[in-house]
Amino acid sequence: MAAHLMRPRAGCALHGALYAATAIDGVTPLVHATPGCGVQAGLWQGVGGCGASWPTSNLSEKHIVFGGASRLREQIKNTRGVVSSEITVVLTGCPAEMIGDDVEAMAQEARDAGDEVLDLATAGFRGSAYHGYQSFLQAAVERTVAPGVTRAGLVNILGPVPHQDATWLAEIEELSRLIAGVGLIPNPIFGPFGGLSSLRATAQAELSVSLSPWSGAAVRALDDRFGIPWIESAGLPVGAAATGALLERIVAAAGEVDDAAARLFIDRERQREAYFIDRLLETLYRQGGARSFAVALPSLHAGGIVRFLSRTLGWSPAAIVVTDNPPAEHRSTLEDELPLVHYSEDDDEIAALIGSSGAEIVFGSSLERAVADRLAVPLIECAAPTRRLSLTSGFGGSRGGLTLLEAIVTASDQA
Amino acid sequence: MSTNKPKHIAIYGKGGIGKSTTTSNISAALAEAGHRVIQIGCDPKSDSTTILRGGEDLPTVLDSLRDSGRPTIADVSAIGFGGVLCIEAGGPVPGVGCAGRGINAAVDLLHELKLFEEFKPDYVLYDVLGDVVCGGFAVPIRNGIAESAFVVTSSDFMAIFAANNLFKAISKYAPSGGARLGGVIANSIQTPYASALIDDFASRTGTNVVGYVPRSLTVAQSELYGQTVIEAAPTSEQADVYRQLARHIAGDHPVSIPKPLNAPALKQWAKQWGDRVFGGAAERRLVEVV
Repeated sequence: MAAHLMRPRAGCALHGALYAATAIDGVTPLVHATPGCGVQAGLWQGVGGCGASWPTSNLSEKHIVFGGASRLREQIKNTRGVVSSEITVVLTGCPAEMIGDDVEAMAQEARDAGDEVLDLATAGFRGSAYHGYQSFLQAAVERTVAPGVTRAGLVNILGPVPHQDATWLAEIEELSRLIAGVGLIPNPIFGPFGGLSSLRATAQAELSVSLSPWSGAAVRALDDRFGIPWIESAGLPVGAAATGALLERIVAAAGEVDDAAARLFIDRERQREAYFIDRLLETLYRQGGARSFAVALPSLHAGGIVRFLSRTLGWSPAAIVVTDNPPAEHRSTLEDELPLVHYSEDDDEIAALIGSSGAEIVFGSSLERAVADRLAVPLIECAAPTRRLSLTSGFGGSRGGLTLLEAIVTASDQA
Repeated sequence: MSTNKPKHIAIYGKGGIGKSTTTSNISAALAEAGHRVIQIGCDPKSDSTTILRGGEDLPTVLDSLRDSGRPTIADVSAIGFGGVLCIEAGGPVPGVGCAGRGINAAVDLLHELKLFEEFKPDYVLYDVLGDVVCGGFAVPIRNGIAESAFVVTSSDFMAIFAANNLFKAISKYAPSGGARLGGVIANSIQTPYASALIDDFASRTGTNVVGYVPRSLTVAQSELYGQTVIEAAPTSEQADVYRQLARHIAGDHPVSIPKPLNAPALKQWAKQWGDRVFGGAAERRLVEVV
């Protein structure tokens, strides 16, 4: 028997696919669902905003009863006429899939007429926004990317889910900086330096880096189709030590790199972090020294933040809750050398786990505010939903570790 | 014309089992007895009221909804035999859209158009696709529409299976104000065991059989003329069978919440009847032949 899920932290599959498509310049998503489906996706964006409005077939009861396929045909045509983009991605919501609209036939009609139209089944009942991102990415790789000549040093960056993971763009940008730092060429796909050309270039990369379980299917598809090797990271590396380790794996896997220059770059990242931590040591001691902490975070951030706090700062985890229900086959990678990890998407269960942990500081979303207040401890918001606006500062990479330190020290001073 | 609150009754039955024929003959018999009757076909095939209207075409509620936006009652109804007001809910093109939601939308529209306040019927009969394939087809038995439901079945297993499914839907909705079961109408009775089999099913599921309709050439012949038996052969024995059914339905008939059989129990029950009807020896021979 299915159980009720209280206050889920992610939208539905349609939302995840919609956010992902929106974050690639040159791709226009078309929502084939009721108007509310797109509105909900927009509302969920909260403080960050998606900065987009989407074409939609705006299904009403009439279309549910008689079928919405001809409405979709008209909307594909109008969208292609009004919005300039290379690829239109038709994303279906629950109503369209429940009544069995032949979406594939409508997309095929448009393809037969020479338009690049991709259709993707993203009904909410298929899963969360993370599943939507996963399906979109896999379909994009399998159906819109063609083989090409390998570009030396090009590295695909996949994993942060646009708009669903709180600091997704900052994470992609930090990873891009780091990859460029060791002498390789980052291929970010999403955001200002991504875009359709970047998506298409995934087939020409030397290596893919998968930073969360949700990009696993896409990097495997890139391997199957184009023979591109991949590295699976146990979530984002946080802090210079984990970042250095990941960069060393990337350098080792990516063919021709100036090893000495790469090593120098990695060392300088470590040196910079060490400099700041030395400066903060006394403050951290004054604020309570080694503390016990609890995290309630999605797989992108959970492992990296726990490792940074325990290995670099020497703190002790009191409760670790991964909140995005990652696929079972990726869990052992995520849990790499971590103590007991709980998996829960349910707010009541998460609050109970954190509440009974006795943690002295909590890392989570704004939903953890109540439990942190009950424990009378600081809360560091590093996951959605959050009111913390993050345009440029994420928690991944060596700079992300320092951002986390900034947040910890500031919050502890205010506490 | 009656000033009483109209009585809403749903009649379910597996497709092809004779539920539209039965419903139309009951409507005709009620009309003949001087009642004002509305019959609403809730089957996407839209052939519920055909034999009340001499086989004439009737635009369905959903066709009109699709074509003209908001139809009037006059657009989607026709007066049939004995003044019965005939309405077909209709459905989408086969294989497209959601017929279940369509039934829902059609019934909602009839309420919005104040059909029952305007026509002031004594009886409203809903003739519903009996397989109850989804929530849409359970609309007439949900809270506030029909007070009671009858199911038409033959002694064929698949018709009994569909009846059992209806019982499941009734037992789900009845506790929260949905329709209760008025009973089973045994149709197409032609073999000696058929009545006993249906009686047994009814008693196992906590209900009873309210009428036995024999298989009859008079029905087939009347349908070829696009008429009910009440109209085409009013003095026939078959017409009296329908009149008797109509009197039962019109009266204060008892209702109950049925106790449907679960899947293994239903199969076991059917197998026992197979043994009873054909004999264990016959079954063994069949196995040997296969």
